[in-house]
Amino acid sequence: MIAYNKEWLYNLFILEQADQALYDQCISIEEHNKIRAAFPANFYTPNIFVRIGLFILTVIIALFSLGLFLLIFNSGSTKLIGTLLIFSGILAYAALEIMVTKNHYKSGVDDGLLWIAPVSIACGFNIISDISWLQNAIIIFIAASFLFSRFTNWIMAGVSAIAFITIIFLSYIKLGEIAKATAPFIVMTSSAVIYMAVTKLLKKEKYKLYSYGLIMASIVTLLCFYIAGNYFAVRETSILMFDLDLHDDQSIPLGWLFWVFTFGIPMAYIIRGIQKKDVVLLRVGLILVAAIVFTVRYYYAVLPLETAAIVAGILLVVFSYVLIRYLREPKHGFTYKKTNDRQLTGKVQIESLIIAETLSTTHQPADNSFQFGGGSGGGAGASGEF
Amino acid sequence: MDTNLFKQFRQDGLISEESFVKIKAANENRLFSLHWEITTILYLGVLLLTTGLGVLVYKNIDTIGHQVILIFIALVSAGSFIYCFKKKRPYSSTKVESPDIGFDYILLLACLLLIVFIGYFQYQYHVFGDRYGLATFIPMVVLFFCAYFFDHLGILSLAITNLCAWAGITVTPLEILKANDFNNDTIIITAIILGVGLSITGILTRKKQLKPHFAFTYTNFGMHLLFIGMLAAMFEFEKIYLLWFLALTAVAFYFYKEAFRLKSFYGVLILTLYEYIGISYVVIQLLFNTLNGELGSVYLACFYFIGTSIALILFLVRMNKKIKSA
Repeated sequence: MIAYNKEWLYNLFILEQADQALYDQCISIEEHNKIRAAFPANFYTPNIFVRIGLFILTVIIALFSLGLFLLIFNSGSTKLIGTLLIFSGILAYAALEIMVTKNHYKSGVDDGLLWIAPVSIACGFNIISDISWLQNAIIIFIAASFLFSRFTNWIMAGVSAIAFITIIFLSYIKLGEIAKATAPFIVMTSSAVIYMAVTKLLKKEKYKLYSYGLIMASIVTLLCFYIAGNYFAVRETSILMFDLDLHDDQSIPLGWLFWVFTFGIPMAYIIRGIQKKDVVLLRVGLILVAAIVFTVRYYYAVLPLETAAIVAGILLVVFSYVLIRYLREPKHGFTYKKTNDRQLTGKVQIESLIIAETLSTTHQPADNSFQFGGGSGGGAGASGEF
Repeated sequence: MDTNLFKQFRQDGLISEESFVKIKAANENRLFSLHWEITTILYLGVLLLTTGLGVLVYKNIDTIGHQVILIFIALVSAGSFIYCFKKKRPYSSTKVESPDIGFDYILLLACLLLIVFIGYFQYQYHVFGDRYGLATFIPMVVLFFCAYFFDHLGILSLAITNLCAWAGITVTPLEILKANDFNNDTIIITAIILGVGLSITGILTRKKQLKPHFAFTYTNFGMHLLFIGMLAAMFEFEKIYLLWFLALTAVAFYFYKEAFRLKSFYGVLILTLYEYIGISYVVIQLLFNTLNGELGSVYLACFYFIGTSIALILFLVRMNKKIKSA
C-alpha cells in the first residue's frame, strides 16, 4: 500500500535511533557509520529550506499550468472549470506517483503534489455541483485517508480524523431533535473510540511506518473530544446550527455538565500525561488550559483584561520558577533539562524571532520632527508576484 | 532508544559490547524532560505580565493609582535586574551559556518592564521633550547593552527591531510588508541603508569575533530589509528599474557567495526567491511593453512561470547537492 520504498522507510527509523545514540555518546562515530552502511535509505530528501523552496515552486507550476489550461479552453462555463480542476488534480496525483518512483521523499515536490491533488479535486466537485457539507466531508475523508495510507503523511492523518468525526456529527444530527441535543456525546464517544483505536495501533510494530500520522490523529481526537464537551462550543453551536433560542444570560440544558467537562478534561489530560509520561496528553492538556481561560472569560469577565493578564502572568512565572526549583534534582523521572534537542538546532534563532514579533513594544515615531519621518502608513506594501 | 534494536546490532557485530552497555544504562536512566513545557509557560507568563502592566499604566494615567503601579513596575524590573546581575556568568566575547533556564526569561522581563517604565516617563513628563526619536533611542541602547552584556539573542532581536523603529520602519516578521508604506521613497531608502548597515554589522561581528553567534541575527534582518528595499525601489522608481535590478542581482550574488561559505541552505533559498521576484518583474515588464498587453503575452507569461519554476527546482536541487558536498 505504501508508495515509498518500505525498507528504506524502516531504515529511517533505525537511523534516527542511531543518531540519538551517537548524540548521547553511547556509540562511536565508526559504529554509527557501520549502522548507516548496513541500513541504507537513499531517498531524495533535501535540507528543510530547499524543501520549502521546492514546495513553493511546485505550487507555482501547478497554478500556472491550471491558468494555461483555462486560457486554452477559453470558456466561462463553470462545468468546464470544475472538470479541468478535477483533471489537473488527477494529473497532479499521477505526477506524485512518478516523483515517488524517483525516490523523492519529503522533498517538497511530493509534499506539494500531495496537497495540490486532493485540493483541486475537492474544489472541482464543489464548482461542478452544489454539494452539501456532509458530501464534502465524505470526499475529504476518502481522499485524505487514501493519501495517508499510501504516503504516510501525518497532516493527511489529522485531516482524515477530523473529516471522519465531522461525518459522524453531520449524519447523526439529521436524525431529529433528540439527536441534535445529544450530538456532543456522540462526538465525544466517537473521538474517544478513535483515540483508543489509534493508540492501540501505535503500539504495534506492524504500523510503525504510520506512527507520525497516528500521533497526529490522536492529537486531533483529543482536541475534538474536548471541543465537543466545551461549554462555549456546545452553546454557540446550538445557537448557530440548531437555532436554539437563548438569551445572553441563559444556560443550555445540562449546562453544569458541560462546565464540568470544560474544566475537567484538560486537567484529566495533564494528570494522565504526567502519570503515563505521555508527551501528547500533557501538551494537549496544557494548551487546553488556555481554552478554559477563554471560555470562562467569555461568560464571566470577573477582572478587567489587563488585570487578568497580570495576575495570570505572575502566577505562570511563579509556578514555573517553583517547578524549576523543585526539579533542581530530577524527581520521579522528571527533569527540566533538555534531554533531546539534536533536531532543534536553530531553535534559538526561531525563538528570538518570536520574541521580536510578540514583545516588540516600541512603535515607529509618529512625529515628523524626526529626520527619517516614519509613521505607520497603511500602505499596500510590495505585492508578492510582480 | 529501542534496546532490542541495539541488541540486534550487538549480535550482528555492528556495535561493541561496551556501547551496548552504555545504551542500556542510558535507557534505564532516561528522564522525562519538561524543558519545553516550562519554557513555554515562563514565556507566556512574561508576555502576559508585561503586556498587562503596560496597558494598566496607560489606562490609569490620570489617577493616583498609576504611581503605585509604576513603583511596582520599577521594583519588579529592578529586582529582576539584580537577580540577573547576581546570577550571570562573567562576560566573554564568545557565547556564554545562560546559568539556568529561568535566567533568560527573567532578563527579558527586566528589560521589557524597563522599557515600559521609560515609555511612561516620556508620556507623562516629556523627559525627552518632543524628540520622539530619543524616546525610542534610549530603549534601543538599553536593549543592545543587555543583549551583549548578558548574551541574549532574543533581546538582540528586540534591539534590532527597536533600531529600525527608531529609523521609522517596522521589521517584526509578520508586519514588515503590512505596516510599512513601501510606496514612500524615504522608507525605501531607509530600508536599504539599514539593510546594508545590518549586513555589514553581521560581517564585522564575525570577523572581529565579537559575539560571533550574533552574526546570523544581524545578517538575517539585514538581508531581508535590503532585498525588500531593493525590490520596492524597483517597483517605485520605474524609470530606472533596470539599474535597481542590476543592484539587486549584485547583492544576491554577494549573499550567494556568503551562503556558500557558511553552508547556509536558508540563505540560498531566500536569495533565490527574492532574485526570482526581481527577474520575473523585469521579464513581465518587457513582455507586456513589447506586446502591448495582448492575449499572447498572458500565454507567454504562463509559459515563463512554468518553465522558470521547473528550472529553479533543478537549480535548488543542484544547490542542495553542492552545499552538502562543499
